[in-house]
Amino acid sequence: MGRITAGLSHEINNVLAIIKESAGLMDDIIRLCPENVVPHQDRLVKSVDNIRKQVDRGVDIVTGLNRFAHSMDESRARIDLNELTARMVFLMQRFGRKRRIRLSAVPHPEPVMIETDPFCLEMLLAAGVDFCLDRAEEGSSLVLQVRLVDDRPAVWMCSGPDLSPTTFSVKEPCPGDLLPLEEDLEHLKADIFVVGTASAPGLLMQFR
Amino acid sequence: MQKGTKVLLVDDEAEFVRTLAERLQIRGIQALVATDGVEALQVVEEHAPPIVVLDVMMPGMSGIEVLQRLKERHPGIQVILLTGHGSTKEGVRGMRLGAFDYLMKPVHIEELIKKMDEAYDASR
Repeated sequence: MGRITAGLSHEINNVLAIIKESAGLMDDIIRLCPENVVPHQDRLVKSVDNIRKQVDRGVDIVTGLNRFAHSMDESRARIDLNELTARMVFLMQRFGRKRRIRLSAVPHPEPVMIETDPFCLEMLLAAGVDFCLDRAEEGSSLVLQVRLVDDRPAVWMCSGPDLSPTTFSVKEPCPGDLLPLEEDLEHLKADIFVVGTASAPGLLMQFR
Repeated sequence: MQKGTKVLLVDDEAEFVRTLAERLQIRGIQALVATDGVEALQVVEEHAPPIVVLDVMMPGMSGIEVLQRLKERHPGIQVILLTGHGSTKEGVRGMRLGAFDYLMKPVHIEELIKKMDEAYDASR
C-alpha cells in the first residue's frame, strides 16, 4: 500500500509541477504586455497568484502524504520524534477542523531520536489524537508536545490550557478498552497513560 | 550567467519541461528540451550546453544513469538534478556521482535560475 500511495503522490506532484509552470507562464506573459493592453490585467494576475498559492498548498499536502506512505518502507528505523509528531499533526488537521479543534505540535528543543516502527507509531499517534478529539471541547486546542519525561522520550497530548509537568502526577495507565492498542504498544516498547482532568483529558505516550 | 546561455532540460513530463523552457526563454536563456535519457545524450553531443537540468525519476534510462554517462564523456558539464519527495536519496547519490546540486520538484523558477547561475560559474 505504501509503495502504491508513494507512486501516486509522485504522479500528483508532477501534475502540480505542470500547473505551477503553466500558471507561471501565464503570469510571465501578462507581465510582458504593456499596461492596459490586457483587459482585466489585475484580476488575471490575482487569479494566477491564487493558482500558485493552491499549488503550494497541494505540494505541502502531497509531501505529507508521500512521507506517510514511505513510513511503511521499513519496519524499524531511527526517527526524530519531533519530526514525526509534526507530520502527524499536519496529516490530522482535517479531523480537528471537522470538530473545530485546532491541532498543533510543540517540539522538544533538541531532536529526540528513537528507533521504532515508524508506521506503527504514526497509527498510535493517530489513535491518540482521535481519543483526545472525541473528548475535547469544541473550539479548544489540542497540543502534541514532545518531551523527555523521566529521561524517556514522550509525546504528551492535551486539550487543556495547563501544560505544566505537574499534570503528569495524576497519570494512570490507559484502560485497554479506551485505546485497544496493547499489541502495538508492546511492539513499539511504549506505555500510554491518561493524564489531565475530566474537562481537559489527555494522553501521555512514553517510550521505554 | 550570460544571456543566450544554453541549458538542457530533461524530464519525461513533456508538458512540464516545455513550459519551463518557454519561461526560461522569456528570461533570455536558450533552453533546449529532451524527454528521455537517450534524447538528452544526443542533444548534449549536438549543442554542448554547459548546464543540464535533469529529472532523476525517468522511465527507461534513469536520471542517475544519464548523469553518469554525461560525466564520463563531458566532465565539465554541470548537472542540476530535479528530485521528487521520494527521490531525495537519489539526489544525494547523484551529488556523489558529480552532480552540481539537486532541487525538489516543483521548483521555483527564481531558485532554479540562481542555481543555474552558480552552476555556470562553476563550469567556467
